[in-house]
Amino acid sequence: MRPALLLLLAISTLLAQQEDSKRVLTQPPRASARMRLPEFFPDAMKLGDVAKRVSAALTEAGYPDQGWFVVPSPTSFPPPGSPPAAGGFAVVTKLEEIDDSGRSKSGGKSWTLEASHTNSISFLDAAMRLLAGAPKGRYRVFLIWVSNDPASQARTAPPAPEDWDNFLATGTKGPLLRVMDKVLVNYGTGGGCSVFVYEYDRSAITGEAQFVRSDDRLNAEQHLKASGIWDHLMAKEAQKP
Amino acid sequence: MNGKIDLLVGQRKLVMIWLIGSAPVILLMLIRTLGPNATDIEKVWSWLLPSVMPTLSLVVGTYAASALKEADAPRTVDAVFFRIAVALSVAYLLILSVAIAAYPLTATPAAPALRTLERVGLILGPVQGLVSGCLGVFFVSQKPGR
Repeated sequence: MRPALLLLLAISTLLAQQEDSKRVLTQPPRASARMRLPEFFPDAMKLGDVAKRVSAALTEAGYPDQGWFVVPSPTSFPPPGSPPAAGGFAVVTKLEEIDDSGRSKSGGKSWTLEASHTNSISFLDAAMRLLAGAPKGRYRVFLIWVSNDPASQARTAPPAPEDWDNFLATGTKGPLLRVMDKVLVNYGTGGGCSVFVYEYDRSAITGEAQFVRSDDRLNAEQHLKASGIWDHLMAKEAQKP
Repeated sequence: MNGKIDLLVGQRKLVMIWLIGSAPVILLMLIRTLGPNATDIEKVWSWLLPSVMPTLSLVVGTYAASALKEADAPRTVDAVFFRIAVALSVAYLLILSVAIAAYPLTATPAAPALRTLERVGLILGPVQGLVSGCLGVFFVSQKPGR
């Protein structure tokens, strides 16, 4: 009975490790805009505390659908077959349609590529659109990266807009606290909190979406402020546990 | 109204319908081309021009050629047939204009403008066939009238 129980425990541990390894993100994909955030939670002792507050701030800002990943520490050398030691976490928000000021499109349809951007426009807007043609649809994804080690972007292109949903689904819905609570906050080696913004323009004529390689319209801070995430992160800093 | 109209008069009226009917849509497209939302507009031009230019070239070219010629014996055409040609031309240009004018208002990421225009093209195709058939009598047929 006892060997069977031990075998079952070993198998479940192995499966959990395999599942965890799927939720590992080693580098953020190349972004349209990025910035290193100020240290919002200087009192947080563990990465689990930071993750809980980031999760709450995102939910309150209107981003309840999140995909969480573990960021491995590049300085850890685990034995073969074991998952790498965690050095941080990354969280991805769902693809949303935004307006020119970076605010999420209203009407509850902002969370899909199929959303219409012709919802209830004024007569003047309709006349302008008739003359000037349909503007491009703008879409955005946030990736917040918190790690004890510095973050560098991958050279590879980011996922296509329709693939972000799958990417988000590979992460966990909430932070992996059983992993994050074991890691102490130590940004001394150049780590910290960074945000990566992925923006896409979608042609109203062909419907094809193009990744915006370099966003010269809004920088990462403007995106964060327009989305409301910045304010909620600030509010979480004020609400110390 | 004895059921016949002069061919040249009919040609002139049809030329005017085609010139006046296609001008707003081409002007609108020019404004959009020079505007800030001109991305991929060449694809709309590639849809529009083959829908307008062959017929417009035919009516204008033939009318120009006949304007330079010495007047032969006056030729007449059936007035009902002329009215059918006018109605089909107006309907065709109206469908085309509505499709071009409305696509910025109806385009969504799920149904982009080009897809809507391609659908409209399915309706325009048969109408264009009928229009070409009617206009051919006015602008191509050289049979002398009675």
